[in-house]
Amino acid sequence: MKNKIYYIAFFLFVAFISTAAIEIIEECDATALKNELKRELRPEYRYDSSKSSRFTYKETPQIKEIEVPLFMGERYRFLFNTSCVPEGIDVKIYNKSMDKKNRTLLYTMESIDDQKIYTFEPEKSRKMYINYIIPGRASESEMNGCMIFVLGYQLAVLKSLD
Amino acid sequence: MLELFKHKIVLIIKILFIYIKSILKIMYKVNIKLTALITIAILLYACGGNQEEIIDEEIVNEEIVNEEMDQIDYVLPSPLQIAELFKSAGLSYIGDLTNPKEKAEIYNSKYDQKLNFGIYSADMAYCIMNNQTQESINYLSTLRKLSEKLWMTDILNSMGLSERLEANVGNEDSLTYIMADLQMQMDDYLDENGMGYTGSIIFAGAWIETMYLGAKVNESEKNEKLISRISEQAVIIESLIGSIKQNDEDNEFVDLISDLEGIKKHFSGFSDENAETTLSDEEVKNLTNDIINLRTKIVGE
Repeated sequence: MKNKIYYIAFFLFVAFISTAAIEIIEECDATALKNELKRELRPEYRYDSSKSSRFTYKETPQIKEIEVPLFMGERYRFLFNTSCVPEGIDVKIYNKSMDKKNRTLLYTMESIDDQKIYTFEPEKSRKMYINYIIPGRASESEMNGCMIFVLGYQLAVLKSLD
Repeated sequence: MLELFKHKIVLIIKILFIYIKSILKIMYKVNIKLTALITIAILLYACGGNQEEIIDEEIVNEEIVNEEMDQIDYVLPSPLQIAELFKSAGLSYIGDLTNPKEKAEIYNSKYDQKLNFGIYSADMAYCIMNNQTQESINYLSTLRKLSEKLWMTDILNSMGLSERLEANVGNEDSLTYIMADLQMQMDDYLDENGMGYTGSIIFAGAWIETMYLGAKVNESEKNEKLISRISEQAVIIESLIGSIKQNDEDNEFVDLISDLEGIKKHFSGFSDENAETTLSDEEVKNLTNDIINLRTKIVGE
């Protein structure tokens, strides 16, 4: 009887910890994470737009694409916050959508330990496509995440006044 | 974030150990069977209570997964940026071009309110760009009325925008920062409340109004730089239509999409490889006519 109670207690303990861990990972305060990125825009860039992308890991890899139209001749800063990405996802930026052939890779996020904020400033402005490649995950438990993207712009006219 | 997560886990483990220890003590001291039954019953009840939540989450997650597999997301620029681009190209101020504030009363459907919220946002940006502070404050008041109808009151009230606008009269740069703050707050609000589709419709209104202002100013005095800026809007129209289509499950925006498709035809000479083309005089004239018609359809006669 004593052993059974220990087993039950241990089982419940593990289940509780797993549930608590999943719930904590699920938390995604997009506004707070965006605010961290907005600070990285100042002083040269002004906020343009943002997108928080929530996803659930599946057994097979997934690709999520974001189309970003940019005006020619303007300078832009792309900012990503990976704080709520529990398992590494690849971030790549292309000049064409994933359904088009012969697209050019413009940026790949190189993940660095303990770094949560990543920046990309394209040389040339034109329409771009951000791809989040979410790895497959073989597990019984469910895991969610969210990636935060903020775009800032620097008007050529403002730049020339500096 | 990681530190907080670790701290939470350690805390949970400590509490659980204390809890299990105290339960075991009670079991030995009082009545093992009874205590075990009560504990298991409580824990099963707690787990059962979570089951409904888990089912809800699964449904939501299924929706998320479907979206991710089928759709491309769109990031649309801020109307302020487009206004700034036009202003830097020489968009001058013509007082009676903007939509009269009084008309806000006649927009009764949510669809009209959203589109005209965009129209008035662009008008406010136009006034700010041209140091028309009192007009900007008046438009802010109109936006507040419309936002109440759209249940978005908090955004405008929480920022003390009127006070900030008044405190920065004549300071164009500060005013544009205030406008940028408003854009950020609105994006956050719509994002937090799962109202991305509203953002697309508001942007459509703002984009059409900015194009209208640009086209009308160019009509009154031809401006090559402005024509160049109007021409490069080709990069936006496709994303705008895509974004609205994505959120039009109930075919609510079919008319708007059709009208925007009509506008898009004027940019048919543009492509990713040929993005630096400028519209000819004839093309600008035809585009201006269609923009004026669409704008009139939205704001009313």
